[in-house]
Amino acid sequence: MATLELYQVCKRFGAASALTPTSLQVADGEFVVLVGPSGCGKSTLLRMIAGLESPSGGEIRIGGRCVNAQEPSARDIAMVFQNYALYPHMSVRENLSYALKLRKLERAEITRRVDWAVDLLGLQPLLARKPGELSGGQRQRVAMGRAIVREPQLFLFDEPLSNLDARLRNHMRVEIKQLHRRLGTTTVYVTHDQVEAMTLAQRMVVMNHGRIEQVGTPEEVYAQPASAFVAGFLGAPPMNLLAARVSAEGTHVLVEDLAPLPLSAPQPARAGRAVTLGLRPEALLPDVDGCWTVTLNLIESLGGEMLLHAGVGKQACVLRIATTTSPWREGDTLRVNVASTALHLFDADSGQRLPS
Amino acid sequence: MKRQWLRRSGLLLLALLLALPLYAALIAASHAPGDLLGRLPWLPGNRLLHNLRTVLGAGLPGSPSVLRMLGNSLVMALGIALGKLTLATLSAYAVVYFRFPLRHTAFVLILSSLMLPLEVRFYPTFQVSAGLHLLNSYGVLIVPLIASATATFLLRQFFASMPPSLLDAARMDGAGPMQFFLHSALPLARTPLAALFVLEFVYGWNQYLWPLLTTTDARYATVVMGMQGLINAGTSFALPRWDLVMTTALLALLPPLLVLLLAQRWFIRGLTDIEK
Repeated sequence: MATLELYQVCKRFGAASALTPTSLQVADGEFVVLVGPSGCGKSTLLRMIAGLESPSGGEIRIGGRCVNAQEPSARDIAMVFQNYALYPHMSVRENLSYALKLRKLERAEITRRVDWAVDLLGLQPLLARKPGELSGGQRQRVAMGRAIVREPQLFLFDEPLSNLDARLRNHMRVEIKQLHRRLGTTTVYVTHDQVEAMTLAQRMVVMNHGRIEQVGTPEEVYAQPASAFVAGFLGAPPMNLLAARVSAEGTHVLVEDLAPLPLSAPQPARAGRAVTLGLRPEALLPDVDGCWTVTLNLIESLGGEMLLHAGVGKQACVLRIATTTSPWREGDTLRVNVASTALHLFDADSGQRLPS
Repeated sequence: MKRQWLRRSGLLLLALLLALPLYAALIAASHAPGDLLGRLPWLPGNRLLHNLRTVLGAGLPGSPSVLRMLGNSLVMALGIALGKLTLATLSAYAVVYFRFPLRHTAFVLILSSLMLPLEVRFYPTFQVSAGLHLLNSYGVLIVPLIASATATFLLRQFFASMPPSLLDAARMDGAGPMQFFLHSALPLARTPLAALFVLEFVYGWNQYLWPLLTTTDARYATVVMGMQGLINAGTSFALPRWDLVMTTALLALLPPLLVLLLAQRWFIRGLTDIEK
């Protein structure tokens, strides 16, 4: 087990920058998730930690020692790939023991480690099979087994669940979390799925356009998104982002055609300026005395709750209501109330969060 | 139903048409030379075993025994097929997995040699072989023919189609370039390799002009090239020995057929679906 430290690590491909200088500290035993849309640099960062790409600048330290010049196999890490990358011509047992054989471990030690991983992951009935004869979930489990038999200091996961169907994904997500709890190995996990990120991460790193937008616990990132991008990326459905304006006195926020909302923290410096107003779908509550009137365009039922797609003034937003039956119909108008503590304000140009 | 019958009888007709020369050879090989004068009997005779014994044992006067020629052909075909596979696998592996200067140029050069038929380079190749004192040896039958653009190209495509994460995984596991080649690339390429082996074995077996040019010593005669010698040798008899020539032709057909039959399953899989 080890810490992982990145100092000003960057990556350029020719003239294009894939990752701007990035620093990050991962504590011993921590589970960190890198999350962002495709092309945000999260996989590049992971591959540099693994040693499969070399950084254009900066320093990577695992357990306190610089590994920039080390081969992947010398870094004492293990990686699980998106398409599993199992050796198709080897049986499950051979797949598990290959790295150990290359390291010239003693036969008894190899058997001990493989048996341990097999027990832990329930691979016993699969040992003699080839990867081609396994289901997606089984392959995933073998890929994890191949990683843990090496007893590495650091686990890297590169979108390990994206090739699985939704049901299996939920199941494997729980298994990965339990595995981490049992082994306590430092883990860096890359995904584009914000649900995976929220549920697995002890700390999550939201990335966009080759740089880090925000680092924090899932609760922090959800409650206090650092930018409009983070706000719009997390949550299902994500936060509603509305074009708005701060009133001339700086005490209210105005959305076109709608009643002004009082700000809990006045913004005199931005009086009269354009801002982006962020509202979580659950922050808009139906209330006969509500200040806003919205038009229902579409109602989606999720069983235990409903998503109401509504027009607010000239813009659109989504409301999430915890109810099983809808008293409204599409086309109805509805009054909603907005709690002043639920307002998120972002700079309209830079997208940065405004202090509140 | 009716259409299917039509199609089947069409196929049957074609098959018969293709089998006809073989049948003629079989008839000629099983009769005495006198029976073949100016006509071809309809049914096989009873001298096939006798003729086989003659060509395999003594051979025709003035030419080595057919057994020896078959042996030479086998050495040549195996040498060419294995040589081609070795060279092609290594060069395809290099072109796909190593970054070296002019890598792409190297591949384009290999590929462009596909456009040139073998015969185009006979003259310079002959000069080089003669200069190296290779004429009249197994070396000259094999070595100049073991570079293969086709095999290199097919194997390059195969290696390039393997998921790149497989290499990543092997690097994480600590496999070096040769270990990845021996433990992963080579075992995974066994289907295309088997298919290529069949193709190149038949190619090597059927070489005619090159052995004819480079070997004058009858000890190195291959069966495909030696057959024309048999026809000449036959004229020294009172009767042309078409019975013996056709027996030899049948014998020459057998090894490629055997290789194809034995490797049929691999052959089809190797050229159609690429297993990953």
